[in-house]
Amino acid sequence: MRENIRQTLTDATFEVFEKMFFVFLELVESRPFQYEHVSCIDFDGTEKGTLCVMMSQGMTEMMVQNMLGCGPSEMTEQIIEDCAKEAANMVCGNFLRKMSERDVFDLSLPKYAPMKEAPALGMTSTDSGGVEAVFFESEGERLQLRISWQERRSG
Amino acid sequence: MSFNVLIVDDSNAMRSVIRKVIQLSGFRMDHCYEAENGKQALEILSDEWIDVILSDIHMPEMDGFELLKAVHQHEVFRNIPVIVISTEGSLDRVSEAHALGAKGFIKKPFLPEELKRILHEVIGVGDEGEYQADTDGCDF
Repeated sequence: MRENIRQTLTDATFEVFEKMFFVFLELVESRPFQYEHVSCIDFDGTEKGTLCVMMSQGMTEMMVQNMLGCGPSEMTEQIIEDCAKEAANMVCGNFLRKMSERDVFDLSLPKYAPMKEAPALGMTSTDSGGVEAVFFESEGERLQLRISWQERRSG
Repeated sequence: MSFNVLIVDDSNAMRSVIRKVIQLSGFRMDHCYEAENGKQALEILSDEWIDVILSDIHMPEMDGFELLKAVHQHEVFRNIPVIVISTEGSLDRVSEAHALGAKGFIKKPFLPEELKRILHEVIGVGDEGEYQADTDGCDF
């Protein structure tokens, strides 16, 4: 189950970043890194959880530049926020579709914060679920995807 | 003949991407109107002539399904083709969108060619190469 989640999250991230941001990622090992931007989205269906996308400054700049054609001088906080939220939205939707095209999930509106303003994010393990993280790099810039999930208890 | 397009998405970034893809696809666009949600879209529909609507599902205030219902129930608006562009692409969601009158469904992330192909299928035009949009720089 956990390996399936990791692989599906990896596949979804590759697809979204290549198609929408024209960023070609490489899977890397975990190592300490200070990310600067984070966007999160909650999902609720047969399972519920949260998916977060954490990005270095250079990664967000690459995404904005490639997606919108903005030069560094044209990038505003609003543009960065919008791109970061859209990344969480698309990766989550793509991940859930890849996990099961038959199940319907409700997605929350994505949230964004500079990393220093988003300390907790609710990414904690639970007895019936867990947290998985996948790490990527592109042109020396870093990206981390974290997903926490909890199985729905029936009855 | 040029067409008026209405893009409905709460993400400025996504509206900008969709607009650029349409411009680059050869689709002859006269005006491109933009709305952040279904409610704003209905206001624009009341004031402007729109030939095709491209709408997200997941939006605050009034989502894409509510917009589809409102358009489908309206005597005049119901003739405007609606293409849904969404991350929510489960089989049930796609069926629901079609049942509510959507003429096309594009799952995010999408390639420009997919949007172009659906536009061709739904309104049967494009590729005449007459529209030359200024796509340089950031027009977010």
